[in-house]
Amino acid sequence: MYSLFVGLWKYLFSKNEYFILILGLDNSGKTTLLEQIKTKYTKIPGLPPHKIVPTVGLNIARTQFQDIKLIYWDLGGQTQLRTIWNKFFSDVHAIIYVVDSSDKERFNESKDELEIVINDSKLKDVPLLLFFNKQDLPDSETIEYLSSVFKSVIQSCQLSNSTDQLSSLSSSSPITTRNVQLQPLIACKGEGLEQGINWLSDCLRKNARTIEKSDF
Amino acid sequence: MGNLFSSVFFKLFGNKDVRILILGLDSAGKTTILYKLQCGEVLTTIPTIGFNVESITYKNIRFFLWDLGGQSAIRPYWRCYYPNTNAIIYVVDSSDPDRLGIANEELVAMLSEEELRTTPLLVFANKQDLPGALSDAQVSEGLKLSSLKNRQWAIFKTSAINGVGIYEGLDWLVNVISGGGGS
Repeated sequence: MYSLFVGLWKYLFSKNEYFILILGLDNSGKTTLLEQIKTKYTKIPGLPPHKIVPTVGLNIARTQFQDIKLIYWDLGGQTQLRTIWNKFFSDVHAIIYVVDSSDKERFNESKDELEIVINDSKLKDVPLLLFFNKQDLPDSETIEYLSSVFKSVIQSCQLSNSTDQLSSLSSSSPITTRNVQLQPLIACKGEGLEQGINWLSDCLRKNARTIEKSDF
Repeated sequence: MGNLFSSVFFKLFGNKDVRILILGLDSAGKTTILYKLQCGEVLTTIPTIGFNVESITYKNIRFFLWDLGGQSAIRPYWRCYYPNTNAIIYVVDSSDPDRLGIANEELVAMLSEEELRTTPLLVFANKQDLPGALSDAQVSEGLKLSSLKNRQWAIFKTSAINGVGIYEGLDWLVNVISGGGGS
């Protein structure tokens, strides 16, 4: 009876629980984003931006967002830490990828890393929220420009939108469709955050993949 | 208003007691780190048989730091100290790559205990003042930290001798504990 109860509880509990992985190059603003998520969606304010140190490790935020529980994993983005990323791919329902919109020299590196991420078979059909961060900086690029930089990656996701023609093309194609959203962001102020999370939560409610519960 | 007042009062005057275990193999620098934090000095230490415990107050949090002996014969007794632990500081000698495997084995055994299932983990890649010390990424790979998903963890390069990295690690710990840890 006890184990039955525990099993039932776990089933009910995990059904509305979604894991989201936050990735991007070092210094793109991943942990600033995570702390802003904590500030906005939990009872305890997150760290202010000036207190955030480069992440070598794993930061976690657990939030209740309306009727669902969103758990965010934030990993370090330095070159030698990116090998850790794929160890999380089997366990996530969605990816948030953060780009520093002012870091022109590394746009292509960021695009290349994102391409590696979305080409991994363990992330098939997982929705991708692409945050173009630091839009407050004077030398940041516009979302239109960045969309063109990341165009090849976005297209390989079979970009889905409300256009009937494109939708029908996607549905008839044997290539799987991944939901992608491009969102400008000022993580240090939280501007653009809510729109992104609203989109992501809608995706997860409609069609989240089932994940075999790992023993973690 | 009562709630507002009490929460303001707590923020202004509240103190939180936090219990930290400092663990790692013998000679990793645990006791040196303990006393660097406690009195700011580098003391000459002898191998710890048993434990040292000191309290420090840092950023309105009172830390009880338990430094347990790391020799192989003593490690089985670590588990006696696991209950009610708020966080673990695991100290690694970055200049001794040959023993990284043993450090990993002891860490895995410890973290698999139910009492420490979600306890935040702070790793100090210590002895960065020595030539040839492994980087934080190398130590985290050697300890297989990337397999940890149910707890927050961080690794900082430290040198207990000159104090580098220790307070940065403590700042991370303050944030994690204030934010409710890994759970």
